[in-house]
This record gives sequence, structure tokens and C-alpha cells, in this order.
Amino acid sequence: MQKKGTLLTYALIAFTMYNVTAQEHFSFYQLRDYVLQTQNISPTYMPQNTFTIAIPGSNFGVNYQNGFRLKDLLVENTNSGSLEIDLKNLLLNVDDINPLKFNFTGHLFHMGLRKGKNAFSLFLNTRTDVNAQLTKPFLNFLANGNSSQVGELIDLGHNKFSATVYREIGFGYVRTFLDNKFKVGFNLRFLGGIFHASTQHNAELTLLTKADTYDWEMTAQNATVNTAGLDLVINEDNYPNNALNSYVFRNKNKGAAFDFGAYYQLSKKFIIELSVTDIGSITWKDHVINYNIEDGSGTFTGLSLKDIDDVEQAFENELNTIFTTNETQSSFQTKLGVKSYLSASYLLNKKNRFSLTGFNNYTFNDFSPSFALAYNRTLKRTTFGVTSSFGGRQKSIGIGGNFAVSLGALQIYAATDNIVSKIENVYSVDFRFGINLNLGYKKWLKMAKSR
Amino acid sequence: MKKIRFKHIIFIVILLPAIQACDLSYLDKDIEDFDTEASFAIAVGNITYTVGELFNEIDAKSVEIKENNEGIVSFVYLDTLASVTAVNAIEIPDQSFPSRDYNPGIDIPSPGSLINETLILDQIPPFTFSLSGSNGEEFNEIVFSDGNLQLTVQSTFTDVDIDLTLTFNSLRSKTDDTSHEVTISINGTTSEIIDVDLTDFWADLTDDGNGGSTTNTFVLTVSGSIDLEVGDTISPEQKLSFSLGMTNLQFEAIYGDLKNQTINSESLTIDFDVFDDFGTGALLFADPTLQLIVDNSFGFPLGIDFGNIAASNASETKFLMGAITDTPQIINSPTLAQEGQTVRDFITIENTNSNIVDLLALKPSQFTVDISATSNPNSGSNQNFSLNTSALSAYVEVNMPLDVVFENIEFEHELDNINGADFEDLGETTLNIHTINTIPLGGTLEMVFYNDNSIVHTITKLVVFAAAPVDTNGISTGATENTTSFDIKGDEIKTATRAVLKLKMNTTNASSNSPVKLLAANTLDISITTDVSIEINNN
Repeated sequence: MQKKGTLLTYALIAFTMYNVTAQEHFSFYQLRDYVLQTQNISPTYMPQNTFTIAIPGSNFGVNYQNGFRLKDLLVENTNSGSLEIDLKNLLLNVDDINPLKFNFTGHLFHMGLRKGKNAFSLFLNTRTDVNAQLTKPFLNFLANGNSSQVGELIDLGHNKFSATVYREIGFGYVRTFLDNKFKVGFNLRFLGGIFHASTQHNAELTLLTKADTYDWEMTAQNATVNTAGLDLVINEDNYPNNALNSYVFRNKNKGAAFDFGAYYQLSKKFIIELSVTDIGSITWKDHVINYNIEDGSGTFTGLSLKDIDDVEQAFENELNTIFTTNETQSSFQTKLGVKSYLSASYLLNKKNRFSLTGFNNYTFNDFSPSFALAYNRTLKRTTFGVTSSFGGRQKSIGIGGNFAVSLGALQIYAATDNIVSKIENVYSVDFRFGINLNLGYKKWLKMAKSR
Repeated sequence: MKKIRFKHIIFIVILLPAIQACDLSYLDKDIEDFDTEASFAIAVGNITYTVGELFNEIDAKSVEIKENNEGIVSFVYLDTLASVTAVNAIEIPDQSFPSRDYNPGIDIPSPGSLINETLILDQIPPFTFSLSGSNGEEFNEIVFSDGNLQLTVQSTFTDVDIDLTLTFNSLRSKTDDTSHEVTISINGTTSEIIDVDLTDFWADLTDDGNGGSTTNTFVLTVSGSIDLEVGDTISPEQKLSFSLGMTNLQFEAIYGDLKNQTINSESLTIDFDVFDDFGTGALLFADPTLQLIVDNSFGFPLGIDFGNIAASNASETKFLMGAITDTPQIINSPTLAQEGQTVRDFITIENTNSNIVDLLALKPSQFTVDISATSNPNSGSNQNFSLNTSALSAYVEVNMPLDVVFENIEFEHELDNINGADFEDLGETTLNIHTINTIPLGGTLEMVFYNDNSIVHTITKLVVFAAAPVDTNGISTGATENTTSFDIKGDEIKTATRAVLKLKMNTTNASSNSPVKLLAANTLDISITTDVSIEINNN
């Protein structure tokens, strides 16, 4: 049996080397019940000990994904050895749609309590979510201008951007049923928005350069960039001294979110799990500025060259006749990017676990799931494993790894979806690390053993 | 348990760095400033030129561009030639008349008069004085604005007192129109001087002193008495002498026959900058006119001689010739009933009465005008007048309808103070010029960029707009479309400090010397698009 597990391990590693991967905290996900913080991405995970408290300031996670590699954008000059920003090279290496994602989670406080069939948790996190989606025509426009797309409709509207900084205070609850074969859990989170900037969800902006006249036919609909709090940073001088600090810690940008999950052990060998997180929204009311281009369409046929003195001003005036811009202070609501995990696990034996996990991020109502094959060695208070993720819009190969070990009551965990990669070659970077204080193992280990 | 902990420590020591083993050395390299080049296809703009606007754009000199009655665009040059006022034109010289004597012929020898008595002098004939003008003028009236009349009465009577009343019959008060009168007393052989400020008077010079009519005549009437006392003696040769003079005579108005006054303007040089920007090439105006506009408020007609008008360029001078120069051209004047008004006369120099076409074909930079005018050019008597406000003003209007042949006429314009650095971010740029032209005038463009005197970039000759077709009258019959593209190399012109633009223009059928009519309704539509490569950097 041990040999069988080893073979599967090798097979999995080999598989990861020839497949495209995507990283969505897949490795961290595999730490499951071992690490309290996994409850943030799968509410059904139940701590293996009675009481857990995270060491403040020591738990964090970073995830960065891009539709292209660093070396696609930053190209090494073979003569000077320095790096050059090369948009044209980038264009050669991008897809039609290119996501750009960054996520940072700082666990400021996390506490878990397990009692009987129930587990409770209380947490305070700061989170930064940046999601962008850049289309190839847009990147082509940036890299080459519009000369190469004369006669083609350049759809700039499908480029999306959303960046949010917020804090969350949450409460989690998990309950087991059917002798631990079935678990359900949820998190309830209260959100406080700090900074935000995003293009409006249904924004459309198109440019068509007519072939014969080079006239620019432009349309704009719902072309709005909503921001909150940013003006306090950008135009700091316009505000009183403590305005920024005061705003960060106390403002009217409130929201709530809900996570839920389910776990079911189909047999001794098979387990299925589902979690859906970040169902919620923030209503931004404080220090809101909406930068709007009013709906409309028009054609820029060039300037009237008669009696023209200031070309720049004339160009601006002409554009203003086509599109009207304004700034408003209307409150708006943004949804968190809903994320889902669906996982099936095969327990080779008590110490070897194989999983296939699917993930999707619905930030832009996008459905392009990524998947991960994972193997974890599952010991009493320790687990470690490897993952291979693929699919979605990602296209790099990465091998992930994770571990959670205990030194007495002290638990150290780390996870990444990319173990060995040069930064210039990766499409993503993913890393989780943390230190917890875990108390009360024995009781639960005995119960597990008796089962 | 201790073993397990030790294994775990080893585990962490090995796995944690492995998990974080992302090689970041790529980011240790220097990152150069962002610098890329993107090419944009964009409509720069469009402009529609009428013929007038086109020439204003390329030759915005002192010429006015107008439309004549036929709808043809014309260059109109207007200038003031001269202005001569009466003060400068006509003067009344100082007048000095021979002394006139009155000898009553009384003889009362010694021992003298035996009684006291008064001898009345009432039979003295009027004295007349003839004024003379510089040009034989025959003055009827002079209304003085300034001047002085001085009458000296000299007596040779030794013993008697004489009282005299002097009446200046010709000198009338401006206020009540009465003749000026002065009373004097003379005792012994003395002289009395009478000064009259003429400012308040006018002179009627038409009375000959005997009730007849004449001109230029000033009449003085004298009467008086001699007081004879016992013992006074008078010899027959004793007399009274009257000397009259007038000095510093200025007038408000003069009336009469002013004869032939010569009014010369100074020789004038008119800088005619109309063709300054016309370079080489042949120019032919089919129907130009040079019109002299004369405003005359003198009360006499003038004859103007056009024999001394010349046009010249840097290498050649041509004089105005033809019928217009053969005889003086008459300038009419206001009549007496129109006193104070101005009469305008027009004298037109055109291709039927002169060689004006040849003069303009020189593309002259100067006109030299030496006009001489003579009053009363026609023979016979005249009823003239002149006020001190009278003036002769002359203007010249050169009207050049663009019924014209342009053959390789080249307009050159220098753009100095070019800052090549402004083009530093400009890469390969193609300018596309599309024109729709209903003007029977075509143009080719050449543009040379210089760094001081070194050529750094040349845009070779390109047809930027093609001449429209014309009918037999030289009038445009349609539009000609033309598209021209040319490249500008930003890396070459970024060192430019100046540029010279040359636009060579030809009218339709210029080679056969057939004029075309450039109508105000003709237009040149220009649309400019560009494929411009722009360097975008973080500077």
C-alpha cells in the first residue's frame, strides 16, 4: 500500500510538470482541518484541537496571478543586462483576455474553539483584492496604437478593473453530523471598506478607426470609474491633517459577507467538499468620487484647422463635444468576488490523501475554473503535500507544496502553489504562512483514533 | 516526543525555504525607463480655403483681398499718395504800394493868415492800390485770418493843424460789414502811422473807387480839415503823402480767378509689398487697374500729369506709358455753391490706356509716384475760391483681379525658431493630405528642415493640390481630387532649428499663358490624416 502511494506521488509530480496550472490557494486548501485559517476559504474545516489562537501579526497570505509572465513584460536587454518594459513582446505572449489578480490577506486576529460537534471561530482580517482583466486589443492599442487596427472595432470596455482594501470581522461556525461524516459550516463577516477603485461593471467603450478617413468612431456607455477614499491619498493636501487616519479607522463604507461550505464522506475512501465564499458586498458612501463619461457616441473627424492656436486645447474641446465628463459623489455598491471550491478526495489510507479540487473566481462574473491535483501525507498533527494546479486562464506550470507542523502547542504552517520557479517565469505567486497556538489535541486525537 | 519535535524542526527548516524558494534575482537587474513607440492613425483635421483665405494664408501682406462684381477675387492695394492743403498751395505775398500824395495847392504867404478859419478838405479823390498775386491771380475777395495793414500819413505842412478821416473802403468788418474808418490829427511836419490788424476784416477788391467793377483793387478815401490861425502860413508845395502796405497776409477764404497754381506733391515711393512672398515664376494679371482717387475741396479744377509713375523690382524699372500719360487728367472742383465740400474724382489706369499689365508683371516691390497738378487747366476766366481748409488728397487703389496666369510662382515661407526637441518623441510619421479643389490653381510643396544651414530633412516636391479644370473663359468647371502622402522622420527633424516651406503654384493651362479666373466661390478642401509613431516614455 505504501508503494502504491509512492507511485501515485511520483505520477502526480510527473503530471504537474506537463500541465498548465493555476494557483488559487490550492495548496493552502489542502491543509484543511490542520490549520484554523483555512476556515476563511472553506468554512467546514474543523480544528483538530479544542482551542486555537493565531499569533497576532504572524499569519498572512499573498496571491498574485497574471495572464502573462514577468519576462514577457520586462525583457532583458542582452547587451546591457538591464530590463526593459516591452509592450510589444508582451503582446506576443498574451491571450485574448488576460486576468491580473492580487490578493493579500492579513490575519490580525483569529481564534477557534471546538466543543463537541461544534466549532466556533472569531477573526479579524485586512484584505486587499485587485482584479483586472485586460483584453488583447486593449494591450495592442497600448503597445502599438491603433494603426494596426484600422477598420477594426477596438473594444476597450471589456477591460475591467477592481481594487478594494477592506477589513472584516467574522464569526464562523461548523457542526458535524453522522459521526463526523457530514459537516456544514458558515462564516458571517462584517466588512468595513477602506479604499476602492473600479470600472463600472457594464461599462462599454469602443473605438473604430475608419479605414478611409481615419475618423475615430467612439461609443461610451456606463463608462464610470467609482472610487472611495482615494482622493484622501491623492489629494492629501486638500484635507485636514488627520483626515486619512480618521477615515481609515472609521467611515461609512459598510458591508457584510457570507461563506458556507459542506463536507460529506461518501465512504471510507471518498470525500466530497464544497465551499462558497465572499458572498457579499460593500456599500461605499464615504469619500466617494465617481468619474463619469456620459453615455454617448460620436466621431472625431479631426480638428477644424482654421484659426487654431492651441492644438491641445482644441483637441480637448473637440473630444468634449463628443463625450461629456463629470464627477459625482454617488454612493455605490460593490460585490466581493465570490469564490468556490469543489473538491473530491480519495483516501488511500489514513496517511495518504489524494484530491482533485476545482476553483472558480466569479469577480467579473467569469466562469473559467482551474483545477488542482493534490497529494497530502496526513499524520497526527502534521501534514505535508504537493499540488499541481491547472486550467482557468492560467498557463504556467507550477508545483505547489504545503505543510503544517506542530512544535508542542506551537503550529507553523506554510503553503504555496509554486515551489520552484524563477519569478520571471511564473504566471502567479502564491504563499501562505502562519503560526498558531493550538491547545487541546489529545481529546480529539483519541476520538479520531477510536473511529 | 522529543524525537518528533526534532524531526519537525528539521522539517520546517527544509520545507519552509523550499516553499519560499522563488528565485527573485531577475528583479535585481536595473529596470530602464519606460520607452516605447506606438503608431496612431488619426484624422488630424480639415480645413476649407476660399481663394481669398488661401492667399491670406500664404501672403498676408498689406493687400486686401476682395471680390469684384464678377465674383473674381481681387488683390486690392490701397495707399495714400499725398495731401496738399491750401496753406501749402496758395499764398498771398506781402503787398507794398507806391506812396500817394495829396497837395491842396494853398498859398498863404507871410505874414500869414489874418483871421482864424477852417479850410475843409472834401474834394480829395479816392486812392486806389492794386494788389498783386504770385501767379497773376485776380482776387475778388480776401477774407483774412491774419495779417497787418499799415498806412503812413506824412505831412509837410509846417504851421497848421490838420484833422483827417481815413476811410478804408475795401476793408470791411466781419461783424457789421462796414468799411474801416480812422480819424487822425497832424500838427506840423510829422507822420502818423495807422496799423490795422486784418484778422477781423475782409477785403472787397472789386470796386475801382469810381463806382466801376474791377479786381485786386484796394480803395482808400480821405477827408478832413485844416485849422488856420492868424499868422499861419501855407506854401503851395506843402502836401500830405499816404503810404500803404500789407504784410503776413493769411486768409480764411479767397475768391477770384486764381489762375494757374502749380501744386506739386513730393516724389513718393510706395513700398508695394504685395508680391514680397512671390518668388520666381511668371505672373500675368489680365485685367488690373490702378485707380487714382482724388478728393478736391479747392474751388478750382486741376489737371494732373501721370508721366512720372514707375514700377520697379530689384532689377528693373518700368514707367507708366500710354494714353493716360499723354494729357493731364482733369480733377473737378466744388463750385461756389459747394464751398466747403469735397469733390471726388476717379482716374483709372488700366490695360486699355496704359501698360499697367507690364508694370505688374514685374512683380514690383516699389511704385514711384511724382504727381504734378495745375489749377485751371482749361483756358478762360474762372470763378475760383480757396478756403484755408481746402485740400487736395490723392489715394491709389491698385486692383488686381485674379484673372491671372501663375506659372511656377513660388511662395516661400520660413519657419524660424523651430525647436526640434518638440519632435523628439515623434517617430516615423506619414502625413496623408487629401484635397478636393475647385480652384483652377494647383500647388506643389517642398519643405526643407535645417539645423542652422545644414539640411537635416527634406520633404521633396509633392503635388498637394491639383488645379481644377476650366472652360474657355477660364472659369472652374469642377473639382479635382488629389491624395498625397509623405513621410516625416522625427529622428531627423529633432535637430532642426528652422524650416523653409516652398509652395509652387500653377494655374490651369499656365503653360499656354491662358488666364484663369479665381472666383470667390472656388474652394480648396483639405483633409489631413496621419499615421504617427509616437515615442511614449516616462518623461
